[in-house]
Amino acid sequence: MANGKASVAVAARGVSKIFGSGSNEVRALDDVSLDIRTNEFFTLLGPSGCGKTTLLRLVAGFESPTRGSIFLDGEDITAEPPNRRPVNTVFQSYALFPHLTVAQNVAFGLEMLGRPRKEISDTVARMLALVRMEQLANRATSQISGGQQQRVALARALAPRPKVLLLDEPLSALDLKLRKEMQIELKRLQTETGITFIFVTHDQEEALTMSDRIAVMSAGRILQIGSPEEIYNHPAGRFVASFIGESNFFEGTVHNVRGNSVEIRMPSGDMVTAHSLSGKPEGSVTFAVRPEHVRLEQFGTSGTLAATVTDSVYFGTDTHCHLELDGGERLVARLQNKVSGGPGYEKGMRAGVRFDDGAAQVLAD
Amino acid sequence: MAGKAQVDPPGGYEAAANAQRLHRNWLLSLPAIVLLLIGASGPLLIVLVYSFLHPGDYGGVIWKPTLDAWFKIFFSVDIFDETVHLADAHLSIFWRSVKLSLLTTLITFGFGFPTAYFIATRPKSQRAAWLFLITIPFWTNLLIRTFAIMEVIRNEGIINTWAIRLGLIDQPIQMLYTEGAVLLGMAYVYLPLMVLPLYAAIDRFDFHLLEAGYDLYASRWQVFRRIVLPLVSPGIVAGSILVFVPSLGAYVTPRVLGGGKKMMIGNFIELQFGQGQNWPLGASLSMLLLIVVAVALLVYVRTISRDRADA
Repeated sequence: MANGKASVAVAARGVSKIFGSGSNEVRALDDVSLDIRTNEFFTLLGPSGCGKTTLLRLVAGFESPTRGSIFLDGEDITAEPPNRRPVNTVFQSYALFPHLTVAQNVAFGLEMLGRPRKEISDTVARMLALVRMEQLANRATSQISGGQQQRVALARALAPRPKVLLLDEPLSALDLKLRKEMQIELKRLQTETGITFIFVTHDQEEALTMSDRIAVMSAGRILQIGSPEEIYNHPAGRFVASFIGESNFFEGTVHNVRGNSVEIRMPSGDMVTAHSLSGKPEGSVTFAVRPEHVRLEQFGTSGTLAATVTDSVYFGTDTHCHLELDGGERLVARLQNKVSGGPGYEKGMRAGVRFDDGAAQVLAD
Repeated sequence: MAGKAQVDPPGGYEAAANAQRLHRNWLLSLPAIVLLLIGASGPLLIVLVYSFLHPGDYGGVIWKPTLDAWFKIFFSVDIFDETVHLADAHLSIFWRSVKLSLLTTLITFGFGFPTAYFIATRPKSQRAAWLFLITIPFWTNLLIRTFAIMEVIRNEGIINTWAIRLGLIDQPIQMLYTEGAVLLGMAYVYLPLMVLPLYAAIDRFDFHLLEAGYDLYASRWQVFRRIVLPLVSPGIVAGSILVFVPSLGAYVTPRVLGGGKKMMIGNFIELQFGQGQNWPLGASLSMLLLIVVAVALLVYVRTISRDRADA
């Protein structure tokens, strides 16, 4: 979009939310600002209690911020009650109306908006088709499975065509297989409807597979915002690096900085080239390497770190090699298995460790 | 043992065990059944039989069958020209009973719903204490509570005394012995019977549904009418029946607060067995009251089972 401002669907500016008071004070959100773009699948990712659900509820209007403002399409909606915000929510518990049928649930929002009867029945039929629930339109919500309830909750929230759809851990109650199906389904719905989705989850895999962008949250703050690739490959800090995927952490001293490329001397004296997101790191730093970005080579190969295999665990698709560098650091290498067998490193063997180019990531904290 | 084949009981062991359990459970309920036969069914049968007999001159009955008592509930025969009229006096007592009972139900709902909602939305640890407060009036005898209300509203009572002393009125306002007084007394007495089932229903209500309602553009009123009301309706029906049924047969409250003028069915029935000395009429009135209550209960059960089917 040409107009930069118009492409922002939801914006938060300096939003804080404090529950309780005095010694019971809980700072659920601490000066949070972010922009969520129109038609984007945006995920708030973090452990429980990080403030992600609170932020979602602030956008829905169920809570009002202690400080700061919420904007929708550039308009300040901080003071608007939830029934006046063109935003709908898919609740974690689904919160389907138990006294209404599937179709009546989906129609509820449209009826409250006072839409004509014909339009309501057309939209309900279209929504039920969208989530593939046409056959069960007249069932009671207690007579359908959890996955089907999930679809009804989605159809109900999508029916009034909200500007933004809020999803509060909607897949957490489903079993693994159904969850995987719904992940694909959600992404399809988002693409087909063109509605901005704000998705709250503590599941990093869900976040990585579905999102256009992810905001990683912890203790009421946003630690990093970026695409799944950016977040995964270039975590800004130790928390992001360990919360999303697994990471090996190493200490070292900055030797030389060239642009984003940082040469780090490890305690053993070996030199490692790492990538830095921003700033000019100096002194002692921490850097992270993903287990699947670690290669094992013949012991003594030049440019590799000398290590001993302490354990080797077969995982089917790959083998996890636990290693100890001669400098004392421990790390895990995730090595792809072949039809012919595993990588062939057994406990007690010596090996040379090499990090893929750009795999080492300097962390801000 | 040899030659004696092990024979399975018909229907298998489980059926046999069930039959045995059923037998035992039946024995356990025997005391209650005996008590019900002697204490409830027997007397009821006597009342039913009496309603089809002639009244004795000084109470009691003459053992000659007649439908007179049932006829007299609704119609009266002019003693001079023997024309048949609707029994206006009886009908007005019926009407007052039904009207006051319905109003009592409405008033207790009006006060009881916010109260029950308030209790159900307190933190779990506080709810027991609030419910306890609701049940405290039950500790005092009904008669004493009713006389306490009388003390408050009679002409020389607290309200009139203070209103005169403060110069708000010159003459005491007649509050006692009015329908309003009966209504006040019944609403006060039966309020807990409305609050408790309403509380039970609201307590089961999933408050996420409120947010879902607001989220889907419903106003406060729409959320209440379209979501809260239908879901707590079993509690409303239960509370209404619990208040309506005893209100309809109320005796003490209309007697004390309504005096002799604002009689309800209960008082009228008592009158037939006492001063009126017309036992069959009293008996037929009792049976009629029972039928009205039974119909009300039937409606209640129907509504509940329909709600169950919906859920």
